Amino acid sequence: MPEEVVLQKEQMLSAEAIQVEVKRTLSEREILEAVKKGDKEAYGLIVKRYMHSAYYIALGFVHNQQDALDVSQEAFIKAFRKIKMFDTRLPFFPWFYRLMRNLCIDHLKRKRRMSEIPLEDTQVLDDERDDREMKEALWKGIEELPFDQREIIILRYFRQMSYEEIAELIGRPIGTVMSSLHYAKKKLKGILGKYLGFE
Amino acid sequence: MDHKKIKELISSYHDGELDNRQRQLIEEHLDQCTECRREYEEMGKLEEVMEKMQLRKPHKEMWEVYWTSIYNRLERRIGWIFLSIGAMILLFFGGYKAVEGIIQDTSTPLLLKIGILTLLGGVVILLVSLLREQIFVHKRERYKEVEK
Repeated sequence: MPEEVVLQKEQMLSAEAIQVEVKRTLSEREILEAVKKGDKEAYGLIVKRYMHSAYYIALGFVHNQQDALDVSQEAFIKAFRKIKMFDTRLPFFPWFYRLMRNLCIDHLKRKRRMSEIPLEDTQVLDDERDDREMKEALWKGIEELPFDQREIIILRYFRQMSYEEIAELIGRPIGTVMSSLHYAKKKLKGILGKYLGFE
Repeated sequence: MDHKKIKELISSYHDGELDNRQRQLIEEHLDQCTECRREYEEMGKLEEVMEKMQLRKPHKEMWEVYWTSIYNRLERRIGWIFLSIGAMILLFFGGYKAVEGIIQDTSTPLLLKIGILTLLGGVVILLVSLLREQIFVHKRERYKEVEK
């Protein structure tokens, strides 16, 4: 390759690197303003920032790795299409979370209608040997909780969120988070009791 | 404060979500109430197990292609729109050519001409959307091999 072309290519690459660096230092609001103008590259920064949370929360809801990937990606696509409706003064994730939550609910309804629960796909817990049977029973207990309780359990234990963060995300008062969590834990404690000898 | 309320607060106590006053209240109560003390210990065991539970991590490669896949789907959507519009124009043109004789015939009533063209437009739109749906469903239907 001629030296001139190599040099041009290097300059282009460094220009791209600078652009990425500039975007990294921008606030979420500024990035989202750019996304509103149709900048897909800027949206990539938002997706990369939240993809882990989105995927794991979806996995907690839909109990299947492939479905969690599909639903969380679908939510990002939907959010991009609706981004003009989003007020950039507000944090992005709670707004996105509500979109994804609805997609998860629709997905579960569809699945229930189809009675489609492949057994191998329900194994969403890490391959840890210790207390596997007990943990699987607990996970089954989580699956059987009412959706709003399950939601709080997932956010609390699998995303390590505080009560305040959960309340902000789901748009409910902290008191509601506290009592829902209490009732959910009570049910799970009952399951655990069968393994550890207390009721 | 009654046991029910205390038990509710024990759960939050474990999570470190109580203020100083509530924490003190719980600690004082636990010192003298064996029933609530037992609830506290059992809840502690649950916390211990729950803290250790982890969701299965996906392959590292999944994170590498996560955004690319979204980007491609966003881009492809524009492609689909253009493809659909193009297909509709071509099909409508083809259909029009097929009935051109009837449309250009001055003796054909105007209402019939409108009817034929509307019917043609409807068929073209339905055909294209049906084709898109079939391709989309086929692509996403991962359980099509599973006997329903």
